[in-house]
Amino acid sequence: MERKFKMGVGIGGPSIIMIFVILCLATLGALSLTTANADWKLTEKAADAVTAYYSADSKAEEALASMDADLKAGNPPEADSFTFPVSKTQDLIMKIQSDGTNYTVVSRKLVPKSQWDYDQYNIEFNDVIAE
Amino acid sequence: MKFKGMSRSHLFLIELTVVILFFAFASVISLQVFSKAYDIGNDTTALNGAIMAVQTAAETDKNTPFQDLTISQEATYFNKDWQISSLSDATYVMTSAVELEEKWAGTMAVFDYTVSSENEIVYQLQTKKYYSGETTSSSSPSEVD
Repeated sequence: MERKFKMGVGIGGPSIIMIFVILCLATLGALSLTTANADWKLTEKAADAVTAYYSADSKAEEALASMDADLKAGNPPEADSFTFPVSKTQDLIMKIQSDGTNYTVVSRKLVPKSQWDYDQYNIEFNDVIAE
Repeated sequence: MKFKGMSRSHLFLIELTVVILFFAFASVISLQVFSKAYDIGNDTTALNGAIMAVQTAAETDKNTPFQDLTISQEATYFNKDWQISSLSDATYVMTSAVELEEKWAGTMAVFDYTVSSENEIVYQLQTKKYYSGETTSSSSPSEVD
């Protein structure tokens, strides 16, 4: 009894290969689009942060101009520290020192709005150190 | 299952034709997705570079002494890798303008920066610097048109 040995792609083979290739393409496409979108959002946030910082910085300069005018008119400044909101979580704090007619900017710092308070989370992190 | 009048090779060819058509359709959609991702990536690079360039210029200008300020509108050209280049190789243009506002006891310098690419604005920023005791009349900065 003779048996013929056949080789080659049968019916259904191209469909399987195509499904595999399309799945690969769709996965890679989705991944690259997601990564690009995430990068774009991060960059937009950075741009917003820079804009907000310089906006607060401009307000600080306006405050210096106003305070300088008051000093030259003989009025001492009401406070030696000014706070300008930058974002929901950050403030620009400017400290000045005046000798009656002139002023000096002692510090200009970007600080978080609220410091982390241990006592607030005391219950969650109630560590007991066993001796 | 027997197909009358159709051999295996005929069926294979029909399947191959259908597969190629479907693959072409799916490839077009996938290419559009890749193209969109490429465009978003380019926009991200542009915005990132613009932020860096503007911040550098702003910090340099804010630390410039009043006497060295020039009331002008300057253009700085950057190539696609955000290196300073000539006009012919430029992909991005940063225009910086300085204006002086007279205050009661000094002068406020207002710096405006705009980064654009092919007439499309990428990023804009305004910043100020107060110069106490300096007036435009006493020690006027040079004016450049």
